[in-house]
Amino acid sequence: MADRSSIEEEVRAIISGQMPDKPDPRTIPDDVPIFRRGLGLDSMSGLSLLTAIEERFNVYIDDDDFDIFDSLRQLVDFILERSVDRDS
Amino acid sequence: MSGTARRAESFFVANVKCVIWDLDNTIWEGICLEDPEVKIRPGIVEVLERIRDRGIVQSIASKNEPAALEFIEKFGLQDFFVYPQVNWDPKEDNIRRIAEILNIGLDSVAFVDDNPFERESVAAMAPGVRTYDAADYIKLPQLPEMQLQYDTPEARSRGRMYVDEALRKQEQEHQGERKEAFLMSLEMVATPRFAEKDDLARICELVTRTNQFNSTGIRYSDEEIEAFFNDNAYRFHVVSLVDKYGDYGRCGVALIKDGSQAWDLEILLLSCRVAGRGLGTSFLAYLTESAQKSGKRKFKARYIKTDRNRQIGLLYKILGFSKNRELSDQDSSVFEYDLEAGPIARPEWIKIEM
Repeated sequence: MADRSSIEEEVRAIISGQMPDKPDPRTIPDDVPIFRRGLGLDSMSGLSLLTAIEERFNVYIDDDDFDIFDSLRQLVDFILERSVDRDS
Repeated sequence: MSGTARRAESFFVANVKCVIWDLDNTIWEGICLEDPEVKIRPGIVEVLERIRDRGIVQSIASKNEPAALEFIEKFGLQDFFVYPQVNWDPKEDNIRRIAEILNIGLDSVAFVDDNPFERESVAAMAPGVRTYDAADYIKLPQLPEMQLQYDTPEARSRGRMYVDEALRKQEQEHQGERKEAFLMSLEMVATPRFAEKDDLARICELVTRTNQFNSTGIRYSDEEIEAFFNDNAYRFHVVSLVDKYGDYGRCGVALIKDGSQAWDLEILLLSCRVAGRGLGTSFLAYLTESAQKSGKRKFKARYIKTDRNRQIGLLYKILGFSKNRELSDQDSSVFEYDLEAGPIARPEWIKIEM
């Protein structure tokens, strides 16, 4: 099973790739909402972020789970809980 | 009217939106690279014209050298086809590529080839694609799935719209990663307004054709749509979009039920051709502004999950809606937006004209 820090590192890289100014992934705060006033990702980045996370970690994000985008930490928690077979 | 609601999955009878043609022994008789004198099939131009006039886009998937495209030009057929794929890749890969560029599902694609191996391979590897034997080409325009369902300006000019889209994609590649700069450069102007009687055919067409950006997936019949239109409790809104490359026409529909405290968004649809531009956010900005002006405190959006429309639920979440658990059940959800916090912000790259 994958460890938290390596998952978090990958999630940070994916999120950074969606942000307009592509910040250093390590500087992204883990306790603010990923969209809008938090990290500022817009609605058009939403779907590509969702599918990137699903494909990379082999998880399915249902509309009931959308609260996981309330922070990077929640998103990583969710992946740790659901990721079934993580290849690398 | 809610008694007419049905489960979303049961009525996906997708019409064909794109016909993808093989070349050798399909558009012409023989193999063009072996026989430079190949002749086009009798009546094929009329078939291509009739399909085009139904608002169906046409493309090519041919295992061939790129030189085969010169034959398309020699026969004067180049204006019929967008994004022709002439290479040695498996046809299903080329078909997926075309569907992706057009932003349509595989079940909206028809594939015509003389070779049964190719047809079977595509049917197996690109599920949903309908395959047709090239020998039956004359009959294609008569098939029920190839009919023009709604005779609207948007339907008849669909082919040209995809050519405009190709120009946009070139520009986007030119702009590289800077998505916002690209969106600004499109000079988009959205015009949202109340729907009129003249809009009914286009509303019905969007209800029938839209899969991805469709908030409920319910295929209301034309009669049901007309009943909503004539019911004073409901108002349809439509939105048109123009950018510097062309006119998308009317590409979005919202059905609002006017309540004493809230507006209920019963249907939200956007044509897949305008996906990824922020028009959904613009339209919702206009709708929440209008609801606020009418003195409403809440804006509620009904959402029924289908196998393709998750982006709508996600959009509501991103824009600050929260799921009303009391009004939601397994089949249908209600997302709620509190208008006291102000309407949804307009994306800066789309000008809204009212």
